[in-house]
Amino acid sequence: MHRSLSETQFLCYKACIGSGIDVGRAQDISSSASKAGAYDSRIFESLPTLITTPEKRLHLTEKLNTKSAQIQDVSVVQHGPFVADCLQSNLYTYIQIDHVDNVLLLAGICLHLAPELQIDFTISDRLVGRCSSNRLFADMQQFGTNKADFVGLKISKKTKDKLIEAKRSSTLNIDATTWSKIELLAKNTYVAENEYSRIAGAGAGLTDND
Amino acid sequence: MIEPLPKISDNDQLINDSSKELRPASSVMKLSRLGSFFPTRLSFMRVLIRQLAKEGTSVTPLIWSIDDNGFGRAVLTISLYKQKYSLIAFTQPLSDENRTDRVIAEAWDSTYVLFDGIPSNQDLDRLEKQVPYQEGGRFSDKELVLSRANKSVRLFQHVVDKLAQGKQPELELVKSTGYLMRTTAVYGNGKFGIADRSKIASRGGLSGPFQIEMLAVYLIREFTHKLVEHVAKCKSPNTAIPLASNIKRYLGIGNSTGLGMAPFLISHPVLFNNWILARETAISQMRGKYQLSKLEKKRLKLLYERADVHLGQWQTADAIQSQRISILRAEWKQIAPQIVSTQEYPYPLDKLINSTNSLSLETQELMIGLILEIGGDKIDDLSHCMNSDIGPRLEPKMNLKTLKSIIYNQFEWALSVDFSNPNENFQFWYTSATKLEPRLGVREAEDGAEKEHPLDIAKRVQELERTLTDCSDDEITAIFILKHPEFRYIIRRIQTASWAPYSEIQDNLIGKNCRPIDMLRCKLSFFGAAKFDPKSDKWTRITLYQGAPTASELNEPNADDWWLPVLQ
Repeated sequence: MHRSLSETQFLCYKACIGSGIDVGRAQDISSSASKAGAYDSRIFESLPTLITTPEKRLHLTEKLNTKSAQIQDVSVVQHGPFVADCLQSNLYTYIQIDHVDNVLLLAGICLHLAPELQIDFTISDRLVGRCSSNRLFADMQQFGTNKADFVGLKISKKTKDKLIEAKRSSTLNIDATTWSKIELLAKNTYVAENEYSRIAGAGAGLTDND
Repeated sequence: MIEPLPKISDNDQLINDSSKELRPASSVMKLSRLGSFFPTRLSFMRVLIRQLAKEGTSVTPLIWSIDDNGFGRAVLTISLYKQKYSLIAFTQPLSDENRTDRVIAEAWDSTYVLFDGIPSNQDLDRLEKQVPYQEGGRFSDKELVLSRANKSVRLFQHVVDKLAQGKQPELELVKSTGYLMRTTAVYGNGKFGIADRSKIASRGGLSGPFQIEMLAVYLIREFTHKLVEHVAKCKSPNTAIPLASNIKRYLGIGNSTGLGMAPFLISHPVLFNNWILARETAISQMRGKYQLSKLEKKRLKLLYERADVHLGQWQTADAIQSQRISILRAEWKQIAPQIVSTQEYPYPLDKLINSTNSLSLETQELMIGLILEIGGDKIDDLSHCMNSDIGPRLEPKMNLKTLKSIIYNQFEWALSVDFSNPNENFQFWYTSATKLEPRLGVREAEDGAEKEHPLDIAKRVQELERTLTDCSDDEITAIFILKHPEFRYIIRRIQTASWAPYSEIQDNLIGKNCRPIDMLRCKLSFFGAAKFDPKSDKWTRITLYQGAPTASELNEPNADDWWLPVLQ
């Protein structure tokens, strides 16, 4: 079914909160998901699993004198914003990830949190995508919408590689089952009405006719 | 002995105007002041009307399939920068038991959608099955705004009956009501599948905040005028007359607004900053005006007098607002001599503003509205700065020393709240499961506080400040957030405030003394609403487009002259 970007982003935000994710990351994940989803709506099929992944500890190895780091196992929801922060702050200029549970969402996070940077994505040392000027350049077949191994993120200035801009949709097509799963998580943020809140919570009383 | 102020002399003709300092956020961003704002010429409805007038646009009734009782469908089309927009209206009978003007209603006298372009018959048939259900319907990105309105029980039938008799409605009833219909929701930006704002954000005339929503409401107002005349004409074809133009111009669109609107100001800090910054910049420019021209002096006096009449026509049953209006009326009369006397001195508008410093906030802010009104096209371009393409930004490279410094310099207001006092932690904002609307609950008395919305800014600042105490100043934000992800949200807000100084309301929004009505009034004043009529501290009635030119008056020279309208 057709969904607007903003209603999707808002629902995803609530689903993140409803899954116990902190507000800051929930904001980033929901913005990033709608950015990435504009390139491939199938990302939302994975979202309920991604945002309910049990807490994972980050294993980071810093490579001295190279401004690079290696991370073993990245939960994109839990660690993706940190990965983008590291690049954005120039703490590292290259990050190698042994395994990430969704590479397209990781690209969405980079687009959202580090829009001024040009970040090249490699999978098994092969260039598959680039985030630049708030746009994604990639062959979406190669880039994929799911987990990936041996992913590299590098701040680059290269522009001559044959990467074409991925097609971005202005609306999203999300099937009813996926939407319901996200809605179910969002419902955890709602508070059931009681007689007091029905009358006083909104401040209008029960009628306001004119 | 006090030295008399030097007056303007002939030699001063060449002195240039200069901007005065902006008012500090610590003064402007207090809820009590924000809740005293009045509409200005930078308000969004004013901006839209100027655009429409500049374009020389007109409204065309493309379809009018309305029966003798006023039920059916209609399409009104308007052109803006060569793009056509159509208001599609559906009206239907509404039983008394289904009539409620609260947002939780499920049936209405009239329902609307603003359509991008000219709708086909297929579009109309599709929308007729969706629009009357509002939140229960499903829409496409051809639709830009969704809304609904109920007739004013007090006024609509009265106007029909009078016009049918060949008479104009009673002026006192028109004054006390002010509208024929009242909207209870105006949805934009992707709600229920309608187009995202990004679709129209770069279009001519619509790049400013809420312009598309304001356009929809303007067309709804046009529709209500046509509808009431149509029903009167059908009732008595031989005797019915049209509404007098002065009454038509005075009749706006009613609106009731509750808590749903309040969190917007917190969830859009950069946008909010830009609204306030544009307004404050305009104020500083007007304060820096060295002297007034003869025309400006005359206009200042005229507008002062109009505001005085407007205050006399502002009625509310709310005890707190009623008292504030009484004080405002008295103080407004009290400053009458200064309106003339300050004109002979340098920087007369600055002096006028200063003359209200010891008076109520309502009076201070009404004076702001007055001096901005005579700014004309000198300040109108500031409306282009009221949008925002960017949101709050995290600066992961910032070291904690800098972060702490921003907290101590700009968030003293947050650090000063005493959360050991239960009254400061009294209430919580949440989403109601029944209507998915924001609500306020009492923490100690109601369930659901664990699902609280993040409007507890002051509390979060304090928690962060305590945690930062033990951290090295040299550590960067990225590393701190890795260890403490729960602070990502508040750190982003704090860092944003360093370049967007008006982004935070500087009061405790979960305290017992927080009055959400102040947030509503602030936002509604930016829309251009006046005559706030609170029904509680969480809910207010207002009128939109009261005094605005009708579509047939857009090309008249006074099309932009409708600040604080009065009906004589």
